[in-house]
Amino acid sequence: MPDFVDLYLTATWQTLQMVSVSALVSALFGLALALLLVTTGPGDLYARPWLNRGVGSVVNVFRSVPFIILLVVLLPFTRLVVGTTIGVWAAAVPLSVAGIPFFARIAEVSLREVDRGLIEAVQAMGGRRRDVLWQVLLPEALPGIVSGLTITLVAMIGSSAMAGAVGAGGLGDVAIRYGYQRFDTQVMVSVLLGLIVLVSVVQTVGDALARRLNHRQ
Amino acid sequence: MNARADILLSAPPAAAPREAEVLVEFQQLSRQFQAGGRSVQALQEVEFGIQRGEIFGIIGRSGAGKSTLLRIINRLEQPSSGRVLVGGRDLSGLNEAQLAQARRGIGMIFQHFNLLSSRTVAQNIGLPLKIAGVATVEIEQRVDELLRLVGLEGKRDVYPARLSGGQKQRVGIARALAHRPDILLCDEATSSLDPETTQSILALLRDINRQLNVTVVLITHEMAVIREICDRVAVLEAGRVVELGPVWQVFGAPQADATRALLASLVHELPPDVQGRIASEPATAQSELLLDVRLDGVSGQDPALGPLVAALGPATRLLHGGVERIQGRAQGRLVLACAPQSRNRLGDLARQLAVPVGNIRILGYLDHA
Repeated sequence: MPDFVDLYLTATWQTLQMVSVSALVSALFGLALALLLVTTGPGDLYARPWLNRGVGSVVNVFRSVPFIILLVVLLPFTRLVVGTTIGVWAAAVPLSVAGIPFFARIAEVSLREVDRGLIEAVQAMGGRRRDVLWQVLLPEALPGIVSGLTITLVAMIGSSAMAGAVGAGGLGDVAIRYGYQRFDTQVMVSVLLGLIVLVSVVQTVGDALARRLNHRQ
Repeated sequence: MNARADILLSAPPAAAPREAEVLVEFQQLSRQFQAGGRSVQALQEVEFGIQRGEIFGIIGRSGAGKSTLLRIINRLEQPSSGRVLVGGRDLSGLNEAQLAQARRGIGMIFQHFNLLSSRTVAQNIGLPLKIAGVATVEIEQRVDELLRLVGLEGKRDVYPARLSGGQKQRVGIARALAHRPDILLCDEATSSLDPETTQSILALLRDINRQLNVTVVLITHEMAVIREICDRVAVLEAGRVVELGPVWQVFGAPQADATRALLASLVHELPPDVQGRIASEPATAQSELLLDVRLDGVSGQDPALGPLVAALGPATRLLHGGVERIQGRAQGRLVLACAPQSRNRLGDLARQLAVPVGNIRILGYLDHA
């Protein structure tokens, strides 16, 4: 039994590491990508229609590849970035690569929902384009962006189970190796309970934060 | 604020008479849009000037081009051809920073207020200053001043979602005035407010115009707004200015069909009970002559009742109508019933009321049931 507790704690810690690093990377790059998508379209602040179409296509390509395939296809790239193809850090690379376009599309929706009248108002008061970005688009879309990040985190916890396939460990890996392959129901149930708690906590905290940031009501 | 002076004080020399100083000047201004492969002419050869210190109204039906015209003043829209001078300066060809600087001298308020939901009232009002890099202490001070000006001292740290429409527009006005602009552009600023709130916002705009000497340019589709506060008005129809002049003149003697159509909402039609009893010939000896008198305010004199009765006879009755004072001139319409023989005294009546004889129309004869 102490063996199992040890395994369980290690696995939980691995999952938290993988997901938090990947989420951080996805949040930063995904948001940047979302801003690029909403500001470079025809007639937008920094109109570059060809760039917009190009970036949009690349995002779609990455969104279409199933995660388990991406995991394998990205092996050389993973080695290039973190120097290894096994372990927690190796799993964080494909998780991030999948998370960036996923979060970018969700954040894009929130940014597009910002009333054009607000942009006009800030331009009329003497705001430059960067003011529109920092004073209007981001703060007004923030509650939606936080909700989107919550969705991304939950999806990532799910994907991290597959990352076990590259020897990253984590709760999902324990569930597959011990629970599924060795028919150990006790391990399976406890791992699932752990994942349920994790997802619930993330969702509850995310919702509370988004509600706090939303001053529209 | 020094920057604002740079932009807008390049005005004509002091030798020019004050009331003739043109602050905004449209020169042969046209604007086309491409909509669905079709070219739409939003503005055509607009040419007029807005004087410093006045409240200038631009009215027209939706799609007449008034919103485009207003936005060309602060370059939220670009003209296709022609020029706009603001304080004698053409704002075309400025780079982003210069244009931002120039816009600080031109405040703007909106129909839907356009307040940032993520910022409190004070943060919304202070935003133009923050963007311009003004020191925080100075912003706080100015925000307090502005809150007092618009009467929202108690709402400093409230989020806009908690405010009524009228309060939101007051925040919008305070925000627009943050940089002490010379011009305030109002884009249908009262169109989503109830009549009572509209009155209070218009009163505030008038105070700002008088006390701070801010030139107000407003667009609206409501003639009542123009009548309430404007000094001069331009009527826009299909992208052209079809009529322009002092409000009392345009209201009193509209020349264009578009103006008359817009004014129809304010004109009192004949009540049905009178309408039903009008005949073209006197039916009996008791039939009364029905007169429609339009007071255009041109003479600047108020209609006197004594001479009116003297001209038409003691049996004269006032059936319908109303008189309003627009810019201090009595304007309106009176429907009078009088003895049929007064028909010959219409010239006398016109003289007494100081209106052209053409303003008196014989509607017919009123039968008694």
